[in-house]
Order: sequence, then C-alpha cells, then structure tokens
Amino acid sequence: MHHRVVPYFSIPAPATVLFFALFCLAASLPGRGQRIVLPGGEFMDTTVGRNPACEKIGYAPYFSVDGKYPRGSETLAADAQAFLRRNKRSYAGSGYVTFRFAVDCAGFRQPRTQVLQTGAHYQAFRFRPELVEELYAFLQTLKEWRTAATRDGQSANYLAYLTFKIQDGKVVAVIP
Amino acid sequence: MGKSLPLFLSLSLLLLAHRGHGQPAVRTVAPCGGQHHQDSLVARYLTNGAHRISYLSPRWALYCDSLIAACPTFAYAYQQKAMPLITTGQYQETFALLDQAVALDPDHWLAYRGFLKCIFTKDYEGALVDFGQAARLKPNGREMDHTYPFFRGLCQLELGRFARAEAEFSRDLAQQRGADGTGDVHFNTLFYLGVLHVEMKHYDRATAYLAQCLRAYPQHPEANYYAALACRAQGKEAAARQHLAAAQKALVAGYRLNEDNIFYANYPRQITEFEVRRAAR
Repeated sequence: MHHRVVPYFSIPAPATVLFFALFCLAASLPGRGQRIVLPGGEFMDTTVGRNPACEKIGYAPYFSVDGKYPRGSETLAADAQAFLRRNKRSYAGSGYVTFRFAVDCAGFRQPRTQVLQTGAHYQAFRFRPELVEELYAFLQTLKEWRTAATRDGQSANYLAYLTFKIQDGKVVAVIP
Repeated sequence: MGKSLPLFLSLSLLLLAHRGHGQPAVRTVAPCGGQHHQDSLVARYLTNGAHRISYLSPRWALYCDSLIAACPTFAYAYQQKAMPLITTGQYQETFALLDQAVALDPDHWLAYRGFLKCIFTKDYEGALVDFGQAARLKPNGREMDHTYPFFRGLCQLELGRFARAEAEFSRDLAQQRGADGTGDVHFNTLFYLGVLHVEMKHYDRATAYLAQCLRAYPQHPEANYYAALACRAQGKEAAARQHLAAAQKALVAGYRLNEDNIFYANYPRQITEFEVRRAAR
C-alpha cells in the first residue's frame, strides 16, 4: 500500500516555479520602494529601524552635526547619473526629487524614507515612478553616512535629506 | 552646547537674512499701521516667540502664521516661515512663501531668493534672473557677504558659460575694490576665478588666482585642490601632491570653504576628503 504524503501547505508545481521566479526577480531588483501615501506625506518605505544602542538618543538636524554625506555634490551627481545610465533607460522631466530620512547614531540610514517631488519652477510635479525608484535605489547604495556627535561628544541620531536635481531626466546636481 | 547648536544656527541664519543690504531699501512706509505697530508684532510673534525655539519646531510656523494673520502685507513674516523649509528640502513650500515676500518687498528679498536658488537649489538660471532684477533695484547691492555679480559669475560658471562668468567676476572685483581700487577682495572670488580658469585650461592664470586666494586663506581646501589640478595639468606633479596634502590636512583639521551657509548646503565645487583621496591615487 502506497501512502501519498500530502504536505500541510501544498502549491501546484507550475505555481511554485512561477512564485520562485518572481521572488528571484524581485530580489534581484535594486531596492524598490513601497511608495506608500500617508496623511504625513508619500513614503518609499515606512519601516522603522531599531538600533537598541541609539533608541534613547534624540534626533538632531543634519546641519548641527555636520551630517552631510561625505562626498562633494558634483561627485554624487556624477555617480547618480552613472547609476541611472546603467540600465540604459531614458527618463524625462525637470525638477527635484527629495528623500528625507534619519541616520542613527551608528551611521546607518534608517529605512523610513519620505519622498517629495517638485517641478523645476517649484510647482507641484510628479516624475515617472521608475525614475523615483531608481534614485531611491541609488540612495540605498550610499553606505558611508557619518556617525554624528554633538559638540559635547554625545552620540546623535540625525535627520537628513538628499535631493536630486533633475534636468530633462538627468541628474545635474545633488543637494545639500 | 549640543542641544543649543540648532538654535544657534537658526539665529545665525536669521541674522544673515538681514545682512548684505548695501543700500537702504526704497520702501519707506511700514505695513500694518506703521513702524511702531510692526515692531510690536515682531516682538510678540518672533523675538518673544519663534526666535526662542528651534526653527525646526512645528511651533515656529505657528508663530509665523500668527504674524501673517496679524499683518498679511509684512514680507518678513513670509521669509521667516520659509527659512526652515529650505533646510529640509521642501522647495515647493519655500518658494511659494518667498515669492510672496518678494512680491511685497522686492528691495529686501529679491537677492535673498536669488541666493537660495544659487546655493541651495542650484537653480542657476532662476538665480541669474533674480540677481539681474535685484541689481536694477539696488545697484552695487550685496547679499551674504558677496556682490550680486559674484553670484551671477558663479551661476554662469556652473552653467558652463565661461566668458560670461569672467565678465561677471570682473564686475565683482571692481565692486569690491571700489572707486579708489584699494578695497579688499574676498578670497572666494579669487577661488572661483581660479576654478574658472582651470575650466578654461588657462592654467597659469588659474594658478595665479588660486595663489592669491591661498595667501589670504592658506588652509582653503578647495583652493589647494584646484591648485593641485592646475599643477598636474601643467606636469608639475610634485607641486600637485603638495597641494593635495595641504587640502587633506586642512579638511581633517576642520577647515572649510568658509561661507556662512555651508552647514546647510554645499557651495559649488566644495569638496570632501573623498575627492582629495581620489585625486591623490
């Protein structure tokens, strides 16, 4: 007598393959954001990071702890544009895409990230989502955020932002 | 001091917003019932209100809103509400408020808006328009320690229009030297003239301007960096390495381009240790 072993949770074979293929595809993409719209704004990611060592420390603005990313703006703009070019897609539109986030006291950028978009003349504007997601993917490649300290030597979490100035779909400047 | 630094920076930016007005404004009639009443509103909502807290506090905007409600034609109230927003990348809201300030009092706020476009949002075309209009309202005016032609030269340099940049920097030099030609020249005018001539591959002139800059401010990291690039282009590798070492040493020691707003935004061509290390490889 043959006993057929039935798994508690079974997935038909073709669906399993498709699921696995989609999972691999998703995993290979560079850091796609969630694009969540909340009353407080639009977010690429709403995940709240928890570093126990930083939990009881307050948040300073980037400018009070020398928290700008340690690259020149021209270097960042060139790197971001090279990042966009790597998949040979072209983009359109002019204006600003800003990501706002926190960096914890150990120098790790926290996943929760707000996104703001503004036209070249500071009017309401939206770029194609693919461009915003590519810029967010580039942001995720930046791993050398400063560990900040206040002037009295205390470790600090800090609030930072990075803006990409876009002209005709190309990154021409990074702020601050 | 750590906790008070944001407040200190807030206040320094406030003070800066009042600097650089080389000539008295044309406006003579204060809005909202005259100067005395206006002063009392400023004391109530700003001096004893917003200016006592960090401008990143939500209460800052509430104080400004109260002032605007009490005096909707007071340009300074709109500028005060706008100021924190530019430091957090909220450009749409920032410039909507600044446009109102400029519309109400262009003599006071047009060049300031041009400065923010030039340094913060790298909107060089927009800044050129604002500084052009500001120059017509206030010939020989200044903003944030510099002449209007300085910012126009910087914009033209970043737009790659080198001949126009050179012409603007010449006007900047003339304005700083004054009618008798003896006025001091800001070291960052000399620095950007050096950068301009590096871009134009006029390495001898670039080296001369950068050397002048470094005589005024020997630790200037960017001047040392661009002097290195000029030396390297001329085949003077040993001198280039000396300048790169000087730039690195200065950055490690905390020296910067030395402009008031570099806490908030990088000036064009501002470097970090990364760029120096890369050039030294």
